[in-house]
Amino acid sequence: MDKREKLLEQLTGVNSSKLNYYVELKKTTEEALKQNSRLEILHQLTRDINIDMSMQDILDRTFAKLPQALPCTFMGIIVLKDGRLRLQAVTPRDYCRVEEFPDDSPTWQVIRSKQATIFNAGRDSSAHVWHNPAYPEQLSSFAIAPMFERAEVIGGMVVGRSLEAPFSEGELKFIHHLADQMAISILNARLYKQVSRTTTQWEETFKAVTDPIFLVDLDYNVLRHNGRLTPEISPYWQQALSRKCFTKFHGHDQPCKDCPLSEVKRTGNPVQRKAQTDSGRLLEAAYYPVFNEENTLAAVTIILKDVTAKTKLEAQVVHSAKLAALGEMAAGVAHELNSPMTVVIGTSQMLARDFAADSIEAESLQDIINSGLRCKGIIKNLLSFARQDLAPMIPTDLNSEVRKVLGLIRYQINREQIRILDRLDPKLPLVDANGPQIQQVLTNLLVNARDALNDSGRSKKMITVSSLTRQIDGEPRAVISVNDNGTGIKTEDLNRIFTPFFTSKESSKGTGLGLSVSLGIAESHAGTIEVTSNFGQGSTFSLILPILPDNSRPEEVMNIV
Amino acid sequence: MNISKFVTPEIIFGCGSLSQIGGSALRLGATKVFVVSDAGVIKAGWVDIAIDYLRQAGLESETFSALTTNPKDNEVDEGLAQYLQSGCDAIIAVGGGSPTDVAKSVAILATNGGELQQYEGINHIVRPLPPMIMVPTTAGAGSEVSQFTIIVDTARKLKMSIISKSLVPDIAIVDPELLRTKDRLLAAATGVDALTHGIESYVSLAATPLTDIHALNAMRLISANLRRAVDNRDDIEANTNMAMASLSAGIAFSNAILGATHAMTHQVDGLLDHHHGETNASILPHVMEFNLSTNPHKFAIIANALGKDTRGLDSSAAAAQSIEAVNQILEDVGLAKGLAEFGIKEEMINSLSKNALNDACLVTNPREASLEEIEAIFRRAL
Repeated sequence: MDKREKLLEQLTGVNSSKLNYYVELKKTTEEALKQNSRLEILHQLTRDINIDMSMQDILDRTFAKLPQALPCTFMGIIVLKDGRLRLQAVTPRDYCRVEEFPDDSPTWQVIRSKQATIFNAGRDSSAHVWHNPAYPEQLSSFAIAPMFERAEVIGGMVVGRSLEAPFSEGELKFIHHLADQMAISILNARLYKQVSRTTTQWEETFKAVTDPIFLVDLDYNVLRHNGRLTPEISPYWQQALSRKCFTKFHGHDQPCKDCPLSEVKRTGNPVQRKAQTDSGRLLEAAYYPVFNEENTLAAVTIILKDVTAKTKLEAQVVHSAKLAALGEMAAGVAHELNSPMTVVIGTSQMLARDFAADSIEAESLQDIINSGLRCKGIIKNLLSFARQDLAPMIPTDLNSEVRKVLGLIRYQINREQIRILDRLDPKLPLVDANGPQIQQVLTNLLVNARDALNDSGRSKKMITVSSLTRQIDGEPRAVISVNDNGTGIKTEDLNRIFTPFFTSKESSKGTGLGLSVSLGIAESHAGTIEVTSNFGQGSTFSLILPILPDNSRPEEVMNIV
Repeated sequence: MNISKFVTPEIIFGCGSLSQIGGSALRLGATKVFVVSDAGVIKAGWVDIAIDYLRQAGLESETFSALTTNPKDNEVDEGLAQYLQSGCDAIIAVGGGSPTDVAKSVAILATNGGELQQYEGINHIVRPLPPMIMVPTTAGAGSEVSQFTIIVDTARKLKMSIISKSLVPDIAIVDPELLRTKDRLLAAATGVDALTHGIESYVSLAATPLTDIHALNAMRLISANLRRAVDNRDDIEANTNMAMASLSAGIAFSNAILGATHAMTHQVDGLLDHHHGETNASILPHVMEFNLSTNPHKFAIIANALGKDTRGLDSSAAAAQSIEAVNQILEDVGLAKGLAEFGIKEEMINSLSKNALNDACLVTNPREASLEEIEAIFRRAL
């Protein structure tokens, strides 16, 4: 009867009314408003989440915004990698921990079904979760939404709540959208990191190169550079008001004549140039074409390389090779000459015994013997000069090296009506040196002096070779200087004379290697070469070497001159 | 029951009131109207006239008429598809009970979704329905004012009753002129349907003084006008009175609900697809007899309302006069037939009775009925 009465009541329906659209509208409007605020939050999130944020930061930020749209107690991101699930981030950060997601865990269910799902919280669904007792309130329900990268599931977002009613379908939809948004943000952050890492790697690569690198567009604008500048460019670079390369590199206000850029533009091939700076440094400039996606020339990469040292080394190698060849020849010639000369001297000495000592014949024969001995000396010097590399560094008397050189070339020089004066200091201390190399330096200096005198057209030509001890920086040094009253050197050339291949002579006469090799030798002896010159009046080149601490003089060396 | 409720739509009554259809639809906020009707009514021209009035009000419309008497769930589905596709935002039925019930059912699904079966029973509708205007072309069904829609579940072969206050239309336009075009049999059948509504709601357990007034009014008008209306289809006075009778009966049963007759005829209609009024005619007297003892006083009043003089009779004899009066009317309009004539056989009775036991209308029947008792009534009605 109860049932019957209840039915009756329902039929006549005191407590039922025709459904009203106003109520329905209110419901719809409320739902729409809620939806709006959710959209607003999604929008805010996209704006808020910085692309260089970590996943934990993204989650924290989202969680902070969420209470307005979706009241919840905790939130987490679970990442699927190599077929395993890992709780990547959770907010609050110490809310829970999960070591292992069992196969039948809700997260796996969602990952497999790819459907956002609401779960009732309880022992069954979360036995694998360690829940921090610092958060005592029990979860009432939680929802997990899959996160996608394109169609692929990359993980899931979990949201749980304790106090409010369980999640509704409408909220689930929002959770789903939120998960999508999170997935996008996470993806963006990852891509950004990748891109910026690649960019940074390249930038670091270029900055690591110590040579200056520039990217210049076809309109001469410097687009990028690696922060390295040569001392020559630096001042122009600082002062330049435009981005133009000719302004920044050379301080010009229009493109340089014969600009390599035009050649690159014309040929589309790399161009190499070598140039000497005013300070005597050698620069090698390489211009590489840069093509854009349409395969048309878009810019030019310029790499400047200081090749001064390298060129010097090359010069020494070339010179050494020449000397080696010369050494071979000299050894052969010396060997061939030694035997006949021994015969000449020996025979002359035997002949001389047959004549009275004061006879005219004996005198003539003595001349032959002396000349023969001198030839032998010359041969010996030549041999040792040719074999300079083999000679060891030994305590050496520089005066004796001077005499050996003069013995070799005095004749040649005198032939040119040049007087050689030697003012050798007999108390000159010994230096640790490779004798033949010292000879080579002196020969060079003497040859240069001779050439300078010959070019001067002076009537009284004079070379003075001096040796002395000079205090430099409080240390005594041995100095051999070669002075001439020849042409002198122009001030602007003074810096460049030691540069390999620099020469003021005609190509048949000079290689441009002499001074650079000489300086190399001086430096290998911990010394240097100093030059003073007045254009039109003459020059003085001084080889300066450190002296040996034991300052004893050797016994007098025989003067073979 | 001490507390009762009474619900009716806005009712526009009178010859020529069909002209109000456009303005009514506009007032409900319609922009495009879904007109549900059937072939007969369209043929009679009433739909064209209705659409014309709508057009005059600046309203577009789309017509759906693919339905049969005792409308089926699949017909509702078709109607729904057309409604959703049409972009209409109001529903108008021009016709008898069938188009009206289809219109209501389309309205349910349009805003609530799902299957019609979900809403079978009482108060299962959860969302408001689109605005509904009902224009009856028969005097009987009463659906234009009721909270019912009755649709045949073709799978289960029975009539589903869906009951909800939300099914009460917004506006009922009752224009007696529209009754003129129905044929004699239909006039008789619908009239008997209205009579059944009146009698069942009057003795219903949920009857209230408010419903009694309408139930009695309906019975008086029917006993005085049904014969005339059936005999002369153009008798405008008889038609007007029958329209009012049907309206009153509808108001009464919508609020007081029905009884065992409807619980039983719903099953027969679901099975045989016969006119509901005719089945009512076969069963009504036997149910009255079954119920007579529960409230002889009310049955005596029914006898009076139907024109019987019961002065000097004891209460049970007076009550019995009501059955006499009903039988006379049925005889006079040619509907005194047994169910066997429609093809109901003894072996069907058991399952029909079982289904009847579950029909909501049985709840308000004044006498509780067992399966055996229902079966016994069916047998008598054969």
